Amino acid sequence: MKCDEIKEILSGYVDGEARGDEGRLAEEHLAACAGCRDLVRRMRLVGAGIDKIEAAVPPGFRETVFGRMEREDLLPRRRGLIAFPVRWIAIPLAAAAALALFVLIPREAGKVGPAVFTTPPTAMRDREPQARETRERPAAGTDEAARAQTPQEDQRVARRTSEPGTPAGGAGGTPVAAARVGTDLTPEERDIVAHLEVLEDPAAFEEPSEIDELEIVEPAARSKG
Amino acid sequence: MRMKSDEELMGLFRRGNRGAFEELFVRHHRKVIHFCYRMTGDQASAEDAAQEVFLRIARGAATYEPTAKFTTWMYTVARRTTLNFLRDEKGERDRAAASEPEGGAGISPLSRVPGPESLNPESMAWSAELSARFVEALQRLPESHRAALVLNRGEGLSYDEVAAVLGVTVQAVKSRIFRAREMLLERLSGLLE
Repeated sequence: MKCDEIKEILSGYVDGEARGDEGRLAEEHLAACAGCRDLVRRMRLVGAGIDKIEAAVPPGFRETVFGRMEREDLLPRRRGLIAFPVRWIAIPLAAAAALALFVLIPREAGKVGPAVFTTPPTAMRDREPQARETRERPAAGTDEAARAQTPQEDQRVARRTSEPGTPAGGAGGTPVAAARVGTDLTPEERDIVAHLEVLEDPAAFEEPSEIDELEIVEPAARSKG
Repeated sequence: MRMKSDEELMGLFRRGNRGAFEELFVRHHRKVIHFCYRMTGDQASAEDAAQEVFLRIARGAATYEPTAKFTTWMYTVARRTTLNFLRDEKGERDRAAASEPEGGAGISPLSRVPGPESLNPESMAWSAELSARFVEALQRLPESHRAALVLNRGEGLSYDEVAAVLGVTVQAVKSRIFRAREMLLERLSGLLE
């Protein structure tokens, strides 16, 4: 093959891209042609020269590029330092809330209706220590609570609030709340309290439909003696 | 831990991962700026073009097909960007030449760089002057030939990859690179003896 015909193959050979028989043809020609061997040498120098051409990477190049991208709103927002904890705390909190609802709702639902509890409802049992703690540590500024410093005074307050005709529990208290004021409840008292709660429910009372006048008129025979 | 591929990083960036783009930038910004310099022959233009390349990559992330090699796509973007820069600069030079008095205009600063008549990149230290002569010779090549040679010799892309970037056949790439070499050998004949 003549030199002019094989030059393009030699260029590919220099780049490691001689395909098929081209590699063999190039090597056979180079073995026999000093001129093309020199050409291949100079071709390699050109490649080496191009490889050495490099631009300087200016300081702040990254900041410039990312600054432009920020201005064009091309970058996703950086997440704040608080965002991650909130996200990872929210998931277990939601799970805990769901679990609490699952546990409490069926038992609370059991209170609806005329069912008679032999033991206080779970929620009430759970609240009881809290209520006791509240009693033991009265809120500041409440006159009644401030006065009930000793057990004797505590019992006196309980008696006063449970007297018939006295508004129960002082300000806005219910009979049940009044019953709680004072000493701890015994199981029997809790049973009573449970009944009271049911009775407190207005729906538990049956409204008298119509008054039968015959029931309130005294029978004539009886009046005669 | 396995290092994520460029294609995986682009996928993450498309889904809103900022760090993925930062990693891509770290990996490729030097290649991009060198490519832009080899194509434009000017440091300031190379910096501007390289910035634009990354902006275009970010803007075009939605259109990027994960099946395509990222570097192929990146160089396609880079080549189009530098082409735009060259067209704009040519327009400016033409306008400046038309407005300037005779003499002095149209001469590249690079052509004024003095250099020894016979330099050898292998045997001599690579000097700024030698680099300038190479850069100037490169700029005189047709853009399509220069792009093929730079992508292959400068960026290390195979003929197949160069063909994908330029959108031509492998045979066309082979021919362009050969022609580019011939022209450079002719222009740098004094240097490469």
